[in-house]
Amino acid sequence: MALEREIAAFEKRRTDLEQTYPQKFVVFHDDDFVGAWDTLDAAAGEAIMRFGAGPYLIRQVGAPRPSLPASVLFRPLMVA
Amino acid sequence: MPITNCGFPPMSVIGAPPNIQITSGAQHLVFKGPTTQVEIGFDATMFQNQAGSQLLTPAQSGSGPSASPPVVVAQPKVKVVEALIDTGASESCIDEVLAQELGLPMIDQANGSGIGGTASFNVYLGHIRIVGLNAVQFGRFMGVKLTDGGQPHCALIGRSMMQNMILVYDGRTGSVSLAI
Repeated sequence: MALEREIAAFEKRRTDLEQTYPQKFVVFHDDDFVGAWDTLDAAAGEAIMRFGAGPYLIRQVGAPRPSLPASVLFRPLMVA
Repeated sequence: MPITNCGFPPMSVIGAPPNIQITSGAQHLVFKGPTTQVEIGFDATMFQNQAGSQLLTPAQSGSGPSASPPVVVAQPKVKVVEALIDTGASESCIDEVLAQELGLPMIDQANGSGIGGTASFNVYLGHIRIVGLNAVQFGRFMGVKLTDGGQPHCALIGRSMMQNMILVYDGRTGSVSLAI
């Protein structure tokens, strides 16, 4: 799975990040926490400059789950 | 004021011989929705102007903002496709298949909630440019299954992109105008 290492590293540090960097945009590359920024643009700019097209994780700490547009309909998998 | 037409002419011809249909603009608008040409892609320079600022955490050893030379990013790939003006969407979205085709950097995987429950989606860096207005939104976009689901559009223009725009929808004639 893409970003598996980065997401695992984020989850490992989630509690610490939520206390230290609430609502900030953090970047993870491989297993490493790269840093935290105020805006997505700043975090992305730094990530691109260092790691090009990736892979890297950029996530806002404590952000709510995104809501999908009604236009994007899908059916949940049914269990037989 | 730049204006682009997102509706349809009074009469439209749909399909190819021998299955040609002639519909009114109003019918076409009901069927397809407000539609505009957009350029989808990833241009690193849009983001790199932001680099090196606002670092909130002490850099780890050897990983400061200027610790290594910038990585050269490949020339941006772009594609012009049709997008749906979707006032029911808060954020703009890009077709998952197109995002992969263009090689947009994947930056996260998120669980989204919507009709039918929750599902996992990839999140990409990129940009959407409304061709007729030369208006650009760059940032992160959810990759959603539009073409796989049989939808005719490859992107959704959400309210976040339209917050400084004027949309005039005339369902009687099939005319839709978008302006900035």
